[in-house]
Amino acid sequence: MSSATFAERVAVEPEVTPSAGQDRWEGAWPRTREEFSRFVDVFQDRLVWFAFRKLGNRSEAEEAVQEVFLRAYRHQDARGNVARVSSYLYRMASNACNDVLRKRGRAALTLDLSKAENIADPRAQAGEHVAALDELKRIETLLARLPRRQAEAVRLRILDELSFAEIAEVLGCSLGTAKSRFRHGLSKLQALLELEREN
Amino acid sequence: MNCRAVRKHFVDLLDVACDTQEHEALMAHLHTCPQCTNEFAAMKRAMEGVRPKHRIGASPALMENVLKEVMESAALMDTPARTGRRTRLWLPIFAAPLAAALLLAASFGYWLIQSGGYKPLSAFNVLGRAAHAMQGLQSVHIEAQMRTIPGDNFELILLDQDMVPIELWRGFGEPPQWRVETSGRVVVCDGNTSLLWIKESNVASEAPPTAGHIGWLAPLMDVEHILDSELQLAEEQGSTVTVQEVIGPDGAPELLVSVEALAQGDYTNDWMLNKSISDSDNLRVYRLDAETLWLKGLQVYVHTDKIDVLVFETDNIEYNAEFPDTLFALELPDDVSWLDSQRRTDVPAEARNLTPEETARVFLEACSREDWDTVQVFYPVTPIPELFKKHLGGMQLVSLGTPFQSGQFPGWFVPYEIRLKNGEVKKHNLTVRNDNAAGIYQVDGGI
Repeated sequence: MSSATFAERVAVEPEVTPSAGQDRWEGAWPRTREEFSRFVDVFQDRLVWFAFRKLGNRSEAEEAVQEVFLRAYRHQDARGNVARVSSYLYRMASNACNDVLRKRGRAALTLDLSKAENIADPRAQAGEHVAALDELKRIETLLARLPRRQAEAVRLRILDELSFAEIAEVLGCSLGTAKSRFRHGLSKLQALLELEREN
Repeated sequence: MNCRAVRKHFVDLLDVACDTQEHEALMAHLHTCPQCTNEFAAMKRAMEGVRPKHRIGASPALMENVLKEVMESAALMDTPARTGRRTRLWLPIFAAPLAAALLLAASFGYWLIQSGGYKPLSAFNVLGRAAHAMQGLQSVHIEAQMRTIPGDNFELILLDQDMVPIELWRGFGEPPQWRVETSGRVVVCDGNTSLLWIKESNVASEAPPTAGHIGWLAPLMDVEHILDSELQLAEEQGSTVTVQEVIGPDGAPELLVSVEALAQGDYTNDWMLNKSISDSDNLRVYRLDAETLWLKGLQVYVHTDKIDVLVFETDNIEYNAEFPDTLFALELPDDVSWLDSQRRTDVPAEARNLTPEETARVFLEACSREDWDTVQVFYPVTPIPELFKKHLGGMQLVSLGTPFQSGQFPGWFVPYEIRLKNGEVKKHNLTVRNDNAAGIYQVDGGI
């Protein structure tokens, strides 16, 4: 019989990512129209969320992701040898978001959420949009206090629900480094959250 | 497992899917060790502390829009050579299952790896067939898009710019003639002289056909020798060539010749990195008709740290069309300014032996004083264009930085900061080079 309490046992269950039940793309770059259609279906929500948290604007996020899919389709021939499709796609999406930010004329390539209301999308449902932005603002305020690389590993793992193998490829580092950045980032985050609770 | 070993693996339990062999042992330990349990639970609480409860997903319109565009592309792929619209011709996306992938290391001794029952081909085979097929070639007209600034030189690519239309014509008579044009710049060679005209600044330059007015596009227009050039580059610069046999969008077999090339310069200072094809790690994908081996298209991608950026793409290639006589002639405006850096040798003694930084200072200070005679020593354009005078006349030199070299550019870059008459502050790098007739540093760009 375990000496841990029921609450403790629940707490120590291994990570269950909220989207774990959703389809994941394990195959190669799509080669047929049918494969491409499923490819869009599998990735569209994740990429729009990824772009939204970088841009703070739903229609811009959708436009960026649409462009990513179209590039993926048009130039699939050049990507036949991509080892892990998902991380390559996130890198494409990240670049597309950077293009949008550059066009906006921002010096920084990350979203300043304090200004996000100014660029809020009038087409988005107000409640959903505001709630998501408010929550992101709180999260980003915390993550902004972590070293940049550690914060990015935490974002990709928790906000974007990528595996450590995917994170390593998106960040262009080894698997061990990706895990290490996450572990150190999470440790600092623990301290910050405790401080937040105390205050 | 002891506590220390277990804690080392906590992060594995926080992965998306934890199915390591140690999983069972880790969990068994956690269920019996309150200290490790507390520590792991704290990590999970921290994750929950930043896990969003509200997420924005894709709207139904996204899938609809993407598939609509894809269908349109597919329709275009079935329709050869439409004018006025971009045709994305060489996506063997529906034909892929039929394609036999033939991979070749580019080195000359390698053979294409055979699969799917196709005969193996060597790069030399491909080259020989192409050279034979191109015999009888009279002209080629290429419509393409390039990621650049319309008025700038034909070498320049800028990854953050939109694609701009570019057209190339070449007659294969003796001597060969050509014309290359964007909305901001045109080069015409009548067989004896290459004439460049930069439209907005109204500056022209006349030089021998080998002067390099059309940069990397020269070998592209030499369509009967493209593979020859690429194989030579593979040998000289270590690029690799891959050949795939695929079924094209029109159902005809095609050869995809892919060239992976590395940037060729010194990028200790990376200013020039990715600003031209040869200053970038890039992928060039040629489409050849498998029967005739005539070039059907080209795409060039620049590899960046994050993604591959398409920087050049042909829309349409037409062979043996008849061109009007006027195509390889250029009528210039009466008030055109002439760039004559390769002819002018009469420079003042004090202009000689200046360093790149001194040249930049003298030149910019002369602009500031509107001393156009001095400006002309270092910017050998006659007369100095009005647009240039309006832009730089009366400006203030704020600072100069340390000159540097980058990539394959034979001269120097001198960082500068100036304040224009309208108050705008401009920071850029002035490019100076001394491989001219006068042998002094003259301004080549960055204005």
